[in-house]
Amino acid sequence: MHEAFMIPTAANQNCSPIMSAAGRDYMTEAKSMLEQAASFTASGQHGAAMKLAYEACEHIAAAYLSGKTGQSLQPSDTTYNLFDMLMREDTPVCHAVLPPEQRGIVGSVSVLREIYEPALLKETTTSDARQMIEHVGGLFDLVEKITRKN
Amino acid sequence: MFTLIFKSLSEVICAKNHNYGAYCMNPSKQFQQQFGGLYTAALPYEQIDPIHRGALGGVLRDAVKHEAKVHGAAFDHAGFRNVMRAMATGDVEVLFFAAAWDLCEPKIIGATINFPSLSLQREGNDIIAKRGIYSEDVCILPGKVKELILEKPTGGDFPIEGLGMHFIRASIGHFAKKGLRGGMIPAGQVFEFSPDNGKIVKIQQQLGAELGQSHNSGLLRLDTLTDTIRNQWKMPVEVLGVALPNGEPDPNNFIVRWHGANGRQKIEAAFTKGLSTFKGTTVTQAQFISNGHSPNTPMVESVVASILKAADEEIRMRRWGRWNSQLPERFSPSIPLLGDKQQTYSALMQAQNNDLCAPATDRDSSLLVGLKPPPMQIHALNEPDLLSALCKLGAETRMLGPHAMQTASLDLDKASAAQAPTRSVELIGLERANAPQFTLAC
Repeated sequence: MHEAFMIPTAANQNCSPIMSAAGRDYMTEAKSMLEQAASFTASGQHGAAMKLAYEACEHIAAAYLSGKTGQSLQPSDTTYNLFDMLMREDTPVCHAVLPPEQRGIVGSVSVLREIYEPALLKETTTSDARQMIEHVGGLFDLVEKITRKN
Repeated sequence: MFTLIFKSLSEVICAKNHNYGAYCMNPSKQFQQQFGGLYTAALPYEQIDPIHRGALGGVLRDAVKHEAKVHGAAFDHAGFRNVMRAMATGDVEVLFFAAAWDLCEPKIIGATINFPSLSLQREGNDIIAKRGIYSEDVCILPGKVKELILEKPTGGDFPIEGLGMHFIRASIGHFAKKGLRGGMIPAGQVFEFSPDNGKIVKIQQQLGAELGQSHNSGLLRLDTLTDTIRNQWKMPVEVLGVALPNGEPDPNNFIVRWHGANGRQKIEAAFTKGLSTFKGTTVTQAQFISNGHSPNTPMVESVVASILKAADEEIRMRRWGRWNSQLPERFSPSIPLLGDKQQTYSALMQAQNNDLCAPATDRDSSLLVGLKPPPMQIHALNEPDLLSALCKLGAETRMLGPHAMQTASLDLDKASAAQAPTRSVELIGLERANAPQFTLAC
C-alpha cells in the first residue's frame, strides 16, 4: 500500500498536525536554506539558489508530515510528492478544508519543481531564482500558519 | 516575438468568440477547464492556420532546444529546418500544449512531436501489426509555465497530477479520439527514455507503460550494415508494405517478417522513417518482435541479419533520408540495355567509377542507389534473444549525450480505455522486393 494511504484522515483523526521536534528542526533548516538562497541570488549564483530553494521545499514537506504521521520522514522528492498529494487532492481528508488560495500556493511550488531540471541550472536567471524563493517562502509561511493554529 | 504571436493569437480567438462563438462561447470544443481553474488543450498543428505556423517556428524550436539541453545533446539550428520541412510533408505529427487562466489569453506552453508508425503485438502464436505512434519528444517550456504561475488568479491551482502527466494524458486522449492525420487510430506508442530521468519514468509507470530493463530489452543504434551482418546466411524473409486508409501504400512504414519451423517460429520487424529533431537528419526507427519462439543461436542471428539486409534494401528503394525524390545522377547509374555495347560499357564503367570514388565510410556495394541509408535505432522490448543477436551483429547501445537510452511502449487502447481494440493494418506485398538491381533506361 502506498504510504499516502496510511496517513490518518479527517474521518478518524484530528486534522491539524502538531509540529514535532524533528519537524521544527526541518523548518529551521528550511528557513536558513531560503535565506542562503536569497544571498546566492544577490551574488548572481542563480543555479545554487534554485537548488537550495528546491531542497527547502522538501524540508518543509518533511516538517509538516512528521507532525501529521508522528514519524520522522526524511526530506526527499518522495516526501514532497506525498505532501503535495495530501495538501491538494480533493478527498475528504483534513487538507480539503484549506481554502483554494492556500492549495494554490502548494500547486505553484509543485509546478516550479516539475519544470526544474538539474541539467539546466546554468540557464536560470535572477528572476527565476527569485520566483522560486518567493513561492517556497509562501509555502513556508503557509505551513507555519497551519501548524501554529494548534 | 512570442509576445506578438500570442497577442495576435488571443486577438484572433477573441475575434472568433465575438463573431463566431468558436472558442469562448463553447470552450469545451478546444479547451477543457481543469479542477483549479486552468483551461488546457492539446491542439494538433494545422498547416493552414497562420497562428499555428507562427507558433511552430518559435515554440517547436524552443521545445526541441530545451529537450536537447536536458539530455546534454547538441542542437543543430540548420538541421531544424528539416524538421519544419517534415511538418510540411506530413511526416511529423505535432500536438501543441495550450493552457490559459483566461480563454482570451491562451499560451502554447509545450509540444509533442510524433511520427505515424506501426505497433507490433503478440497475439497467441501470431504477431499482428496495428497503427502506432513513435513519440520523439514531449516538452513543457519552463519559461511559459513561469508566466502561467505569475498570471495565476487568486484561488487558482494547477492540475494535481502535474503538467507533464496532464498533457501526456491529453495527447493520448486526442489520438484515441481523433487519431493521426487521415483518421488512423494508433493502438500503441513506442518511445525512448533515459532510465536516469526519474520524472519521465514515474509518469510513464503511472500511465502503465512497459519500460525496458537492461537484462531483456534495449535500444540499439546501427549506423550501417556491418560485415558481420553481410556475412550471415541469407534466410528467406518477406517485405510487406502497409496500406493507408485510402488504400495507398504508406511511404514511411513497412514490415519485414520471417516465419520458420512451419510457422511456429516468427520474427518480425517494423521500420518507420523518423527524424532526429536535434540534428534534423533522418533516422529509421525499427521495432523487433518475436512470437516468443525464437530459433536457436546462430540461426537467430542469420534471421535478424536477413531482416536488416532486406530492410536496408527497401530503405534505399524508398530513398529515406533524401529530400530529393529524383535519383541523383552521379550515384544512380542508368544502364542503357538497348543501346550499343559502347554505351552500355561506358555506363557500367561510370557506375563502377562512382563507387570507387566514394569515401570509404560511404562506400556501398549496391549499384541501385549508391547512397548510405540513414542510421537505424532498433527497439527490442522483452526480447532477450533478439537483443543478444543484434549486439552480436554489431548494433551498439543508443546514447543521447552522456545517457544510455532504453526502449518503452505504451498500449494506447488500455491507456485511453478504448471501447474496442484497434484494428490491424492491411499488409500489402511489395513487388519491388524482387526487382532487378538496376535502373533501366530503355
